[in-house]
Amino acid sequence: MDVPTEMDLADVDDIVSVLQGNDAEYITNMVPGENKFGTSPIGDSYGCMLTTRMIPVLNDIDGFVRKFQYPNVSQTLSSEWGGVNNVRFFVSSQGSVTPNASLLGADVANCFVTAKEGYKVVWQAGGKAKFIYLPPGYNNDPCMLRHTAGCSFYQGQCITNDLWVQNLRSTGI
Amino acid sequence: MLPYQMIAGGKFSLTTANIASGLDLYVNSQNPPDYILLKSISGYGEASDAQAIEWFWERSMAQGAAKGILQSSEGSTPQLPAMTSYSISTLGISTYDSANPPVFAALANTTVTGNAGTFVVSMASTGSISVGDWVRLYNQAAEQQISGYSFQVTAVTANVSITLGYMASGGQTFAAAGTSGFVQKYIPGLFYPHWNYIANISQATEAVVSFTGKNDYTPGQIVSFRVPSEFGMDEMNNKQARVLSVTNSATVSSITLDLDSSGFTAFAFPTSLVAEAGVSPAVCLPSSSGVVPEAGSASVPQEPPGTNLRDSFDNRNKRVIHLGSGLFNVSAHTSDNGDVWLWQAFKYDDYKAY
Repeated sequence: MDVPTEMDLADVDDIVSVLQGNDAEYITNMVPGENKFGTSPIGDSYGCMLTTRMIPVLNDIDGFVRKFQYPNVSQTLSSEWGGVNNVRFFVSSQGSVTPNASLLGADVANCFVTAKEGYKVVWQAGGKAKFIYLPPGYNNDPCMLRHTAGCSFYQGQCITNDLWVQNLRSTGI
Repeated sequence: MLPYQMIAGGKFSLTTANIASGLDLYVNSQNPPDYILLKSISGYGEASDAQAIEWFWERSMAQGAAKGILQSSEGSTPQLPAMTSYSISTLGISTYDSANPPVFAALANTTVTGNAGTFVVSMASTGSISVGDWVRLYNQAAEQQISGYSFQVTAVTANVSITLGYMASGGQTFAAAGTSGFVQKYIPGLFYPHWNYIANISQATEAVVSFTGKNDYTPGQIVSFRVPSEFGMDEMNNKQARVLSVTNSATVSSITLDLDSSGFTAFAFPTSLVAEAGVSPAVCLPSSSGVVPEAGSASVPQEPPGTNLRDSFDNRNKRVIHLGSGLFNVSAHTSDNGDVWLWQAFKYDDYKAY
């Protein structure tokens, strides 16, 4: 058996239990059941941010509800993959993976389950990021041959209470 | 980008540690350099000292390779030392983005001397592992309690063994020696702050927490702990504490805490069998805090309590030019402590390969 194992329903419930024990509040409200075929209600939920490589593992979790099975999808994000019991999952290709970190050397996905106000983002006045494009003629380019493009980010993020952000480690990716 | 632009350069003085294990240079541009040139300022024309005096790497060459010139020892007047062209295929020059570093092949190991507390890992091939490198051990038969852990290497005997000195200085000993497993070299990402594996926690009025490699905690910072019950010191789990002092020497990485652990249960790694059944690692992570109190010190908490900008996550990933130890100690041509080299990194605007 590898350590950690693949994420399953019991692991998700354990994390919910830990967060509840740490007095962590849910981020999203319940999506109540509606009289629609093929849908299933979703409980009050914490948010889990994880790599897209976890999608097959998520789909294998007992009782996992895909986003398109929510009774109401008006309060979802495009990155949301689905939910189970009291956790909703948001995938990103930039999600955290620690290579070869399991007992048997498999890659380990770091799935961060966070509660309300577990972390914060500070934006400076004027926005979060700027895309800067300069047409030919700038920066010692007398013959107007070269464009330049770059990005400037001006925001900061930090954890406000580490007890409200838990890392659910999983193999199977 | 201008045609054939020098995107970075400068000089560096070699230390004994650099000669033994290489060094990293940093380039601001994320556009990878196409041509890297090194010349020994102090070595050119130096009398009676056999040494390498020049190396280059070009983008068509393999990572870790380098070609250069060795200068023989010559003390006569006029001084006319012989120059020899030379080529190395490993431990030379490589360049990578630390956010997307190269992947190294796993290497098999035999014994791990965790039972003696020295944590020497025997390996028929140590590959490109150098002192200071990070390695991850996995599937360590009879010492599964360190499988999945990361360690910084403190000594290398080529193709014989590596030493995990930071783990050894933690003071833990295991019931039996490891018998076989794998060692994977990796280059850690540079997001700050980040968590660390715990090598040991002392029972003291000011608890000392040891790590498996160098740490970047700061006096005054608040850290938090995840210590599963299998490690004994249950009382430490989810505990937060302020860092009073930080140690980062050649073999010791630790922090001293404003936390009395003298009454806690002793910290001890689980047995290999217990670890195999499933145990999460013991880790120390940066907590919500002022990393450094804005108006205070390690012993004076930030007032009012809260977070400041230095507590935010910082992406410190860079374009790295790694100079391997093979450049400075090759074929009986050895550089000396204090030797000064210039370095230049270039980028082609229009690279044509025919």
